[in-house]
Amino acid sequence: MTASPAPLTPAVLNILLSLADQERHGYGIMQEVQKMTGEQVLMGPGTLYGTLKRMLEAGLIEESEERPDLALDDERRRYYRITPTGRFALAEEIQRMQHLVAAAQAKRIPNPGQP
Amino acid sequence: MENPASQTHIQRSERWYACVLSLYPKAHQAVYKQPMLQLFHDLNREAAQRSGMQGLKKIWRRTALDLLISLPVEYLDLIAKGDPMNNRPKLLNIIILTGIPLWLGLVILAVNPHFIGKLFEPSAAQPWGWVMVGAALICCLAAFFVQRKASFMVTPSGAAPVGKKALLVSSTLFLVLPAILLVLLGPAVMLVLLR
Repeated sequence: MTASPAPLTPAVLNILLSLADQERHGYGIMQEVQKMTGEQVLMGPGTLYGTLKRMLEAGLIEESEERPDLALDDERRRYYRITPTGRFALAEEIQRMQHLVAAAQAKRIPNPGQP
Repeated sequence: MENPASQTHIQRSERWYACVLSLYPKAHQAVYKQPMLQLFHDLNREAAQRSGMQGLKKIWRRTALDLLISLPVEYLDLIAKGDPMNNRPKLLNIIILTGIPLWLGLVILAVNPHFIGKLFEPSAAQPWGWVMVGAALICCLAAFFVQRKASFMVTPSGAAPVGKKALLVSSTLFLVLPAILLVLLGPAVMLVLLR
């Protein structure tokens, strides 16, 4: 059995989640992350592209050559998609979080807003 | 929308961001400058459409925080992995990146009356703070030119004819000078703090 990988940073987790269903460009990733987190996570361009660079190096994502529709899209945009390694890392992280949630529920930790 | 942003404001904002992007390491700029500009352009337009000038201000507050976080991260990355854009010795990068916080620390000490009271507060009567700020600025500018010269003159084989000189000047500007000032200032600061 291989050792479980280190926990993902919040930025990496959010980006992987945003790419789980389709490939996106930087702005698309940012919008999806904002939507998923209810605007709780607002990444700037520096953080986003720095994280994407390190994720590319780690093989979690890859650049996509495909363009959904060149007529509608800017050629300068770079599209990214999740790799099998990225999908595996994401699944591991979600499982880790599920274990944490189960442990918190077992300890009867209330949800915020609940008495 | 109370205060709509004009096209000029939006374009000016994007031009400023393009300038700010040149602070990132060259290797990072080579790959990500265009997509980052494109992303900022998208964010800017959306914010201006949604909330006018307030939106642009919000984007800049967010961008300033983003720069504070991502710039050091990219430079640390550069130290760890080396700079693929030129053969500048890693040691030079380390010296400069160690020196910048030292100088910044000194400047903060020099201008912050909370730490050193009236002793080094910049004023006409006590010019030490201004001297320090001026010295830091001159050193940063000098080091910037040394850097440019060093990176131009490094040979493709990696042997740097001016490497040693650049290392000497950089370490003097960025490590020796601030270290001397810290040694000189340290006891004074401690005395004032203990007073």
